Order: sequence, then C-alpha cells, then structure tokens
Amino acid sequence: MKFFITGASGYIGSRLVSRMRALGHVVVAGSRQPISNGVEWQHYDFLSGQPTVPVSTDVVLHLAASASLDAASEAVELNAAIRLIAAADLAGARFIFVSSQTANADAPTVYGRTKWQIEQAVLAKGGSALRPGQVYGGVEQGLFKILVQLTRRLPVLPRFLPEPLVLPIHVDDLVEALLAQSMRGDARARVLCIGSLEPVPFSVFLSAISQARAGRTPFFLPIPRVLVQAASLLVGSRLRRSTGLERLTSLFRLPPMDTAADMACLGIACRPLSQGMSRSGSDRRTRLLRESQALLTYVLKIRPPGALLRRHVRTIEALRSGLAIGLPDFAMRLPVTIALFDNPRRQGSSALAEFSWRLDSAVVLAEACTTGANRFLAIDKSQSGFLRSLMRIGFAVGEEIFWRVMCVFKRPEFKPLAHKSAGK
Amino acid sequence: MISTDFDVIVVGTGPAGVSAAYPLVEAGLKVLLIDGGKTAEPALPSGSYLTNRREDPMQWKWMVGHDYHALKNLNSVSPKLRVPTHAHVFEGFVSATQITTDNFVAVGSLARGGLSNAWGCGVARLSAAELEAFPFPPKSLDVGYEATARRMGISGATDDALSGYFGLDAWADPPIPLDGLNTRLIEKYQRIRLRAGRADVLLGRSRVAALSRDRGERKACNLSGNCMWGCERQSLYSATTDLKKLRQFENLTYRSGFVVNAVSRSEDQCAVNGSGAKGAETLTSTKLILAAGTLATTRLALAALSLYDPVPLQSSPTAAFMLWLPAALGTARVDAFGLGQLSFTLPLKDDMTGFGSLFSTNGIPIAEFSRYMPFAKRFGIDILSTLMSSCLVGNVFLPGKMSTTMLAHNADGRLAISGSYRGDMPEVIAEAERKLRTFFWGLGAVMLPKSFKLSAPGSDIHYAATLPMQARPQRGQTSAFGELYGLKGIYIADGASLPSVSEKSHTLTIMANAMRIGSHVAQSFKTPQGPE
Repeated sequence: MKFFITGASGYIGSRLVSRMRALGHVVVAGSRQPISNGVEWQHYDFLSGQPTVPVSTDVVLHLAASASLDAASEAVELNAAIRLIAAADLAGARFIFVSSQTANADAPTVYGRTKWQIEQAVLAKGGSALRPGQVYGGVEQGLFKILVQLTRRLPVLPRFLPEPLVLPIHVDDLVEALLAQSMRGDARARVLCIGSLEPVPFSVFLSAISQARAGRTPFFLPIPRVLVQAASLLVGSRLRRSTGLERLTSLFRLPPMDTAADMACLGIACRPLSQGMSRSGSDRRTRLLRESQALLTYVLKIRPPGALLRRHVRTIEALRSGLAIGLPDFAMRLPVTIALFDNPRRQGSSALAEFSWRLDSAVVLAEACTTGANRFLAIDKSQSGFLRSLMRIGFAVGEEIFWRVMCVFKRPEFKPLAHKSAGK
Repeated sequence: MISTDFDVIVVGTGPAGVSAAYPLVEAGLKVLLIDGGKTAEPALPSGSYLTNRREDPMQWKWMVGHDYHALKNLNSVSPKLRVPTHAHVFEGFVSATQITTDNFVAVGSLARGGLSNAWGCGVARLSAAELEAFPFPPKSLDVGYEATARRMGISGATDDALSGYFGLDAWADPPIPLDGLNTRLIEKYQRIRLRAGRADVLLGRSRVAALSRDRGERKACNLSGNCMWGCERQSLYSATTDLKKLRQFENLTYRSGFVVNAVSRSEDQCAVNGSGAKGAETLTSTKLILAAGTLATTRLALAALSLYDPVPLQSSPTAAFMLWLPAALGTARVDAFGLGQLSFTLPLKDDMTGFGSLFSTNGIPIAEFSRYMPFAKRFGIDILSTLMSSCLVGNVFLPGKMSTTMLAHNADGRLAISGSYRGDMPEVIAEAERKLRTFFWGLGAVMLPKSFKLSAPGSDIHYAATLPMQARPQRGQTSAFGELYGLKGIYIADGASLPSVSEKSHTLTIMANAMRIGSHVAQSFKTPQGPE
C-alpha cells in the first residue's frame, strides 16, 4: 500500500515511517525538512497553500501538529488540516488523523478545541481519528523528551493531589494501532481511543520514567492541585502558556477515556510500563541482566564484573530461551536468599531444572575469571593455616544449616516460568 | 596380480591404528591410513594453571570456550567432555556412528589421533595369568609391549609395591615428582608397610605415558597443571606424534577427514566406502585393518557380517571418590601433575583385583566438585575453596567381567548399546569402598562421606571384547591374529578383538596387540601361502 505521512520526522511519525517501510509499504514522508534515510520526501507544512497528496496514495496519515499553544497557530493548524482533508478526498485516499485525549468541543485549551474541530472535519469526509493517551517510550522526543529531562534534572518531582490519571501508550503500540486502522478497508468515520486499559496515576508514570531513564527512584513532593490552579489564575494567560501552567491545567482536566472497546477492535494490546520504558521497548534483557546479576552475586558474594555478567546473559540468550525465569524480587535485592531455592535435593525435580541450569552455568562462568579464581581457589587465603581454614569450613556449614532451617520455617513460593525457558 | 588401490588400508589413527601401521610401512607395503580428521582449533593454555587462573582475564576461553562448549555439555559425565580444547576429540562421533544408548556412556572419536588426545595416559602390561584367555602364548605380546612402551615414552619406573603389577619398569623413565599430598600418603604407606610386612592394599607410583625426560619435540612435564586442558609441551602421549612420524614414510598415504560408512570383502579385495572432501568414495586394498575404536569398528564389522544378534561388550566398571588429608588443611595450592600420581591395587572377592589411581584436584575446576556436594552452591564453594588444597580424587576400576553390557547392530544401521552390571555389583563395590576407606584411614586420609560413587556403565571408556580373538573363532569372533571370521583379509586391531579386559588400563595392550596383528599382516605379504 502507499501512504502519505505528515509530521514524518516527529516522535511518532519517524517510528511509523520506519515500521511501514519495514513491512514493505510505499511511504511518502511529508515534513518541513527533507528526511535523510532514503525515504521519498515531499515538502509539507501548515503555511504552504494547497497541499498535494501523492498520486495513488491509499491512506493519508496526518500527524503534523503545531508545537506552540497560541490561538493564532492553532487556527493555522486547523486551516491546513482542512486543506489536506480536501486534497486527500480529491485523490481518493482515506484519511487518518492523530488527535489527542484532550480533544473536546469545550476543552480548557485552544489546543484541545482545535483537535476537536479537526476531528469533525475528518469525520465529515468519512475519515477517522485516533486519540492516543500519554505517548511514551523509544527515542526521547516530543512531550516524552520533556518528561524524561524533568526526571533527570529535578531533585524532587511533584505529586499533584488529587492525582491526575493518564493512559500511557508506548509509541510503537500507537504505531501498531495506526497500522491496524490503515489496513481496515471497511473503516468507518469514527474516533478511536487508544491507550492502556487501566488509568495510571501521573506520579506512577513519572516514577517509571525516572527509574528507566534517569536510573533512580524519585522523591515526590505532594502539591495540591488548587495551588497550581490559583497560580494559573494569577499569572494571566500569556505567562500561563510560557510557564507550562496551561499544560498542567490541561492535564488536570484530561477527560476520562474508555479505550477497551477500540483497542479490542484494532486487536492491539499495550505493553506494560516496565517493558515499554526500557530503551529497546522491551525489558527482556533488563530482567535477564538483573537475574544473572543476582545469581552471580549469590555465587561470588560480590557484584560480578561487567564482562562476566554480560557473558552469563549471552549464554542464556544463546543456549536457552533468553528470557528471565521470574526469580522473586527479594532474591534479586538480597541474592543470598537464593539459598532458599538452591537446595541440592532440587536436582531431579523438573520444575526447577531451568533454575538449576542457570545457577550451574553461573557457577561455571563465575569460576572462569580472575575474580572467580580468587573466590573459588581462595588464592589470597590459601595459606591461612589449619585453624583458620577449619573455622571457615565450620562457618560455611553453619550458614548452610541456617538456610536449611529457614527453608523449613518458610518455604517461599517460587514457580519458575518453565514454559518460557525451554532450551533451544 | 589383483589391482587394488593399496596393499593395506588402516581405518583409524588412534593408538591402535598407528601401532598396526608401523610394521606395515616398515615392511615397505603400500599403506593407506584414514581418519575422521577432526583437529583442535583453540590455542592451548601456556604457563602454569594457577598463574593463568590468577592472571589471565581471558581464561573463560580455554575453560568454557567461546562457543560455550562447557555449558553445552554441562550434564556430560566427565569433566573432559567439557574441556573446550578437547571438543574436537569427541565431536560428531555418536551421530556418525548412529549410536543409541540405554544406561550406557558411549564415547568415541573422529579426531586425528582418536581418543588418545584426551586420555588418562594410564599404561600397564597384562600378566601371563591375565593373558591366559588370549589364544596365543603370552610371550608373543612382549615385542609389542616393549616397542610400544619405548615409542610412547613412559614414566614412573621405581622399585615399589606395584613394580610387578605394572611390569613396565625395564622400559620406563623415572617418575614425575609427586605433589605434597601424594608424598604424605606414600611416605606413611612405606613406614606402615615396613612395620606390617604385607598390606592388603598395595600402593605405588602410577606408570603413565607422560614424559619425565625430554624426547625431541616433546618436552618433559614441568608440573604446569594443565593436563586436563591440553599440554602445550606435549608431555602426554598422543597418537598424533606417531602419525607425524609415520607420514615421513613414502609408502604411506594419509587421508584425513574420510569417515568410513561401510566395509566389505569381495573375492579378491577389501573395499572401504566412505565420504571425505571429494564426496562419497570407495577405496580398495588387498587387506584391511579396522582400528576405529571398539564401538565404530564393531559397527563396521557387524554390518559387513550382516550380524544382527546382540554381542557382549566388556568395559571396566569404575567408581570415583574423594580423599581428605586433614593434616594438610590450610596448606597452599601448588601446580601439580594432573594425571595419576599414585596407584593402588586391592584384592576383592573371587580373586578379582581392583585398580585405581589418585589425582591432584588442583587443575580441576571447583565447579566439577560443587555439583556433587550436598550443599547450596554458595556454601559448597566456601567449603571447597578451603578444603580442596588438602584433597585428592581417586578412581577405581574393576575387571571387565563385572559388566554385562550388550551391543546390537540393527538392520536399520543403528548401534544399540544397553549397559548393565553383574548382579553382585553392589556387593563388590561396597567391599571396594570399605577396603579403601580403611586403607586410606590408616594413611591419615579420610574418604569423604558419600563421595564414593559408582559411575554408569561405559563411563570408563575401556570398551573391548565385542569381536574376541579365539583359537577356534565362530561368526562374530576373530582369529588369533584378529582376522574377522567369515571375512578373510579384514582384521580387527583395536579393543574390539581383545578376548577380555581387566581392571588395568588397556591401551598399551591394545597397541601391543595391534602391532602384533600389523606384523602378521606384513608377514603374509612376504609369504602369500603362509600359515593362516
């Protein structure tokens, strides 16, 4: 199929273009500046009079949006959209518009009202509009970039009370939704709501960004919404826009959105936040790294060298499923507790066979490095004499007994994801 | 004259193949030597084991392998099967030989030099009594024993309790120095022995095919401790050394990378079908010697005979154990010779003898021991890291008659091996454990509880006696010179044609016998009407 995509160099647009091309579609990218990666490009901006839709285009995906929030640029955006809708109609192409969760006839911001007006124009010509929730993930661009930078820079993040709720959607999941809607030849004129099924408190969303991208769990300062609203009233409309207070107000007045029906209709499922926040868009490797780190730390008694950690991860990727087996969180935080599962009698029990393999391979790899030689051969302690050696052995036996008793006392539930761990 | 490609084709370049080839090429015959051709690719560690462990940031390359070799073989029976530098020795054998097993460890080789690339270097000579079941006078192996021992280079000659048992001192060099633990044991043993006169269990130096003196390119052992990982100095005998010498003969052709699928005998010639670099090919010769290793040779022979009845396979049941010398706890680790240092014999019921050796634990990864420890890994490693410098590992072999393993070549080409031990095995093994525990206790060494473990049938890799030499052979047996009954001109020169296997290391006997068979075949070309 052939697509004309406006806003092709943007946060969502660039992911959409590469995904479409990967699937073998013909893409004409519309943007202000030429796109360098070999895509067919056509100049497009809101001010360039009557736009042309490339010949034999099947679908026009309108992603271009104005970054500023003033009324004048919103009017330009609306007019440009109306002209593009007409051009698409003339070319016989279907029209899909990426709108916003704030779109509403009486939205608090011009932004939201403009989006709603464009939606109406789209629907009038039989096109469809998608209202995404809070878009995040992948390369740091757009609003996501601003939020990532905030979490990196601010020592303390605000927790507004009562908490605004957002519907996060990973940029690649949104791309899949756009793709699905483009493929539906029978698509009717309608608005589709796209986002996670369950709303997430904004602070939880910020915390996930901070953990994944800033590498720390943030501190939150509770701020009552009324304070923000009062400040917003005081500063006047101009300052309101430039300080970002308008955006905040918009966040507070985000209309609730029921996404379940439309997501099901498109056959799209949202990935969990923890997965989506990692740079690759999947937390598979992160989880595997954490697990390998825990196993190797359990074996070595100190944090494993980076090269060793990567070697264990690569081994599991090469010889096993490459997926984490789901060690409980406390075992990752306190690796010595792996002793609770590391019962020599577990051998033979097939449910824990994969756990055994991963631990055994951690032992073999940990031993085969200089750090491991020091631990396994006790090189620095090897001449410590009879008594001290005897004490060390006695202490190890004591620890073994302690953890055996702990096992009897409370056997933790741990069901390894054996089905996901079948060896290749 | 018949037009064949060669006078004699020898299949296999392991210890048996090269030993059979020597008399043939020396007699000026046109000989073809073929093997599966697998060779080593990773570099062997140089320097001493402990220094490498302390300093080499890339030690995982020779310990685990860049392709995770050790982890791919995490559940294999022997540590040797996990060593990356030995990967080529075992690679592809089981599938090429189409072996299926039931309670049996099947190991073989398609490598240049065969299993001798990764062997324990144990050597011994069979006594006249042990050779009684062989269909020829015991003396006729003497020439082979001596020539082979001198060719390989054997160390361990000393006047001790086992001099007679090994019977090799006349041709052996002095022993490689013992490590501290073994020294303690032998000194204590000598004191006790002087006092008690005769001990039940005999302890002495191991006789091994490892050099204590330089021999040309091969250098004497320098106690680097790399025995298990591959000896850069070539102190350990490998048949590749002899292969190199053989290739200097102009009348010898060597085809590497030729895997034999079938052999046959027509009226006037032997034929070998196989595949190599040039694809499928048939090579012909007047006579054919199979020395591909007991399992591969047996498959080829039974297929050529169209014999599908199960045949007995002998191997020496083996057990392993761990000794702790409390008095040595807390002593420093030192690099040491990694193969047998001390050996022992112990009398068992029905006049059977058990034979075993003691090994330094120093060159073996701790992971190999921690897997058997009844402890959580973390604490097991704590204990082993402290304990191992005062521990030795031991093994013990029992005579092949204790194994009741059967092997069958099926019509579909598969070689099915079903392993089992004689019914009284638990009793014999318990007796061996009890005697050894008491014996070593007397020398101040504790056999660690639960460490004595009988291995699965076949773990010893001392396979033999599937096509036994008999004075009056029948179908599925061989003549006194290893000639396959019913297929004139095809000889069996490896372990397969030994009538029995004892508890002793059997490699030297295989080599001596292969040389005897090779000499006989060479002789038959001089006197075509000879006494056969």
